[in-house]
Amino acid sequence: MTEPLDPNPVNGELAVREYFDSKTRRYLKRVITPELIEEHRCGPHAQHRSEPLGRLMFYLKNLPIDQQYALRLMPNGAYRITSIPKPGEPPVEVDGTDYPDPSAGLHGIFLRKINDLMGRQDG
Amino acid sequence: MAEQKIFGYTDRLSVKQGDRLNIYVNCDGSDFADAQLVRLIHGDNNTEAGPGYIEREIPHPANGNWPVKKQFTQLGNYLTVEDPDQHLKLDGTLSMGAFIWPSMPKRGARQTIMGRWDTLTNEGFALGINPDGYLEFWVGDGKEVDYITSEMPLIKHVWYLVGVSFDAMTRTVTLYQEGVLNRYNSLIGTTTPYDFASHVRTRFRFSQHNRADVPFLIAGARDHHELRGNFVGDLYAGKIDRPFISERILTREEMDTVKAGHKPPADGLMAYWDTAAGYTDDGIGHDVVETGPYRLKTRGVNHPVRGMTGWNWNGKNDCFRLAPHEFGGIEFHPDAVTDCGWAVTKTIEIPSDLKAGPYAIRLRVGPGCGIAEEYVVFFVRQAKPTAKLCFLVPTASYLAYGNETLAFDAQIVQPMTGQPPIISDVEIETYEHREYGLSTYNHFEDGAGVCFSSWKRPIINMRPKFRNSWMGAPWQFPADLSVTAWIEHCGYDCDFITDDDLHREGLAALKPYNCVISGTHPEYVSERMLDAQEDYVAQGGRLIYTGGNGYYWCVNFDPEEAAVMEVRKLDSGMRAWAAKPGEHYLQTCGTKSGLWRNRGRAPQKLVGVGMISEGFETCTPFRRMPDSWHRTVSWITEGIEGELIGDEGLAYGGAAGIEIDRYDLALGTPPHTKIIASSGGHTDNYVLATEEILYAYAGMVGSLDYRIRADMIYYTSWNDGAVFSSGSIAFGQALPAKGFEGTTSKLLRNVVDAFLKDGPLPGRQWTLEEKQWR
Ligand SMILES: [Fe+2]
Repeated sequence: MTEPLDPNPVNGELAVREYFDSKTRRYLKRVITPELIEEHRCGPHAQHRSEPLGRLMFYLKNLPIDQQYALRLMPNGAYRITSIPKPGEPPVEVDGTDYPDPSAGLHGIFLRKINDLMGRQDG
Repeated sequence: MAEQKIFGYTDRLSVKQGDRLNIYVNCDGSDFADAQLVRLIHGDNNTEAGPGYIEREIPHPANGNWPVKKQFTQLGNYLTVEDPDQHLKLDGTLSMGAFIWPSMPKRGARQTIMGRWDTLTNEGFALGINPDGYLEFWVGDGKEVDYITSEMPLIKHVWYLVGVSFDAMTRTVTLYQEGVLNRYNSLIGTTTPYDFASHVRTRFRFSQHNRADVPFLIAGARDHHELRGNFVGDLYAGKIDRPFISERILTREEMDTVKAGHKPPADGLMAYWDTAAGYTDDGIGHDVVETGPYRLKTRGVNHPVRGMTGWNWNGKNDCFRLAPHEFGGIEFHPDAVTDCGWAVTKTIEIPSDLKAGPYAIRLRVGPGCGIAEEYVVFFVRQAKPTAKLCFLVPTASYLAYGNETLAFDAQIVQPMTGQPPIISDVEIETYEHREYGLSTYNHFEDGAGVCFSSWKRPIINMRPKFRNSWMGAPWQFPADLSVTAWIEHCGYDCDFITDDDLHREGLAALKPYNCVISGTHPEYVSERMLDAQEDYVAQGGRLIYTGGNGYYWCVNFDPEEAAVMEVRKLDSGMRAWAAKPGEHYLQTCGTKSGLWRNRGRAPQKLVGVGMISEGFETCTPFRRMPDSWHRTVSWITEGIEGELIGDEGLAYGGAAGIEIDRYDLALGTPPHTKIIASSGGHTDNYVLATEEILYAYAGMVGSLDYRIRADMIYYTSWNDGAVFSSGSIAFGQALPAKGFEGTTSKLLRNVVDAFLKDGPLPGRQWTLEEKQWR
């Protein structure tokens, strides 16, 4: 007796990752404070991050690509936040905010990802 | 009006004074483009730390208005079969079969395995995969199409024998599908309880009608577009091994003997492609050997990947050279392209007095910026070298990165660079249309790593002003313009040769020069390139390596097509993909690919340092090390105040960083090498290179692991030869900072001035005893 073929099986690992990530998010939601956000704003690439900011940044940079954002350089020299383009599709602008330089834009992405994180239901 | 955009490429990257160069242009939304020859002086438009973007317009008869047009690109791999006598135009009974390993069976589009089919008029016959992922055979009479479809969907990355027999008398058609997976050859193993087999029989309403002008193709089918004309569509993704076609009915028992490893019956056989034939110890060409009665000349388009593990690979042999018959897999990718094949737009003559260096034809339409501006880049070489200095343009590495889209596709990139990408219009445009092929950092749509890259297509990141999106700074060519700008600023007479020149000509290409200087990231090198540089140094040449993560991958240029470079990524190393087991050897030369370090030639042996870490996002200065005060080498840092070197730069404000290399006696650094300066204490985004790791443990990061550093080194060789290495990509981008007068610039000027002089190097006068003091 053979199994019926499923040519496109669901990846069971997704549920396992979700379990892991929701645990991380429960921690991160407790430690996100105005001070932590200010720490990022002052130095998005700083060496000596506090542990909460370090863990938050690890979570954010490891998000799946479809939950990531890009900075798009506009013809006027400003930067705007967009989705990451998918094959065959242009990136989608998330709002019309102009950021004057990459550092400000990267902080804008950071805030947006925190917003996404806070909106997740993690029990 | 259509959006205006313009893209182009040349037939060569290196052109000598007095030679001619072909330029190919594709333009949307305009019939004319404004063309201007420019010398590229500096590529980084960062005006805060450096001089900004600089080009110089050069008077040339070709400047002005060029007629341009829309040009089309044939994407995808397939095999063409020359069949002038139309032996394969089978109008009656026929059988076909092939071993296949589909990589995207449910692609949502029809895929042709083999046949003589016209998609436009629905004429002919073909065996293929339907959009839902089922094996299918179909015939068309120009009005209607009849299909027979398997009852079991094809599973990706599993080997099958598939085939069809069509009896034109009775119009009975029988489909054959059997799994041939073994313990090694497929993604899943023998314990997965799937039934792969399907045998279906039906009766068609009619037989095929064949038009005379339709070609027999493997892995594609004839299509037609009003503007474009004929092209090949319905491309197949995956491997095909030993396909055949017969003019008689093959019984199930006869197909079973093929499945058992026998050749198809000779009686009635019209063509049998022995895909494993013709292999040599020096590689595999693009012709596929057809061993049937008519020996039909068959050839791959856009570099189908050869020598791949076949249906009968049993895991014992790891290379096509050892057991060719087990490596008959040809891998096809619908999105591969190694030659856009456009019509020549313009042939220009390089003036015989044009100074050697980086140039471009700047093309503008409409607004003349963003995607309405193109720089078609090439390098001019002295017809007869008179310069003592030569910049070795790392074109193999430009090709490797050509059109990379890591920021859009690679989950790994943000964890590596530590920051979201900063993207530009030209990338967005090319990513959306994907007409110009991929880099060796990409995966094809079917998930396989890209192992060929070519300059016969627009390369959007090989242009000035381009900023790498995942790092937010110039990379490769535009970054190297910081080194060439420095050469120009210093007023050195300098020739320019490319990696492909060096690969073709060997040591003779380097001989005329006292000193050869590299780019910021010469990561991809062929054996001939490496041999030439090694012999150059041993015979008294002086080599300056201004980069990081260099001399790393084993590559080759295709002997049949000089524009194409091949690499396979495997085993270890910081790598974008991993070649499958058994597929680690370069098809263009037969040698193993992967890291030079894993073939006994770690970069340390030639340039004293080799890859240790990458971290991007931040850079630091170097600090002088005790060796630098030794009087055999103190001339290198002459005139530099204090202990810091390179506290400046266009890439994150320092000369040490991005990707960095380390001195390591255990990997062959010449023992008398002096460490002039070193970095260290990088951020924790700098992680240990994977090839260094035997056991992984916590703390292999910049602030915790002393090995993570850039070592700036110097050593002397035979005959007054010498090597200076910066061990850091950011070093080159530090040269233009502070008006080209920073410490990085001062130091490199000391080195180049000394290296250009004939005779003994400074520091040679000291006694052996003193030299050994440390
Ligand atoms: Fe690289």
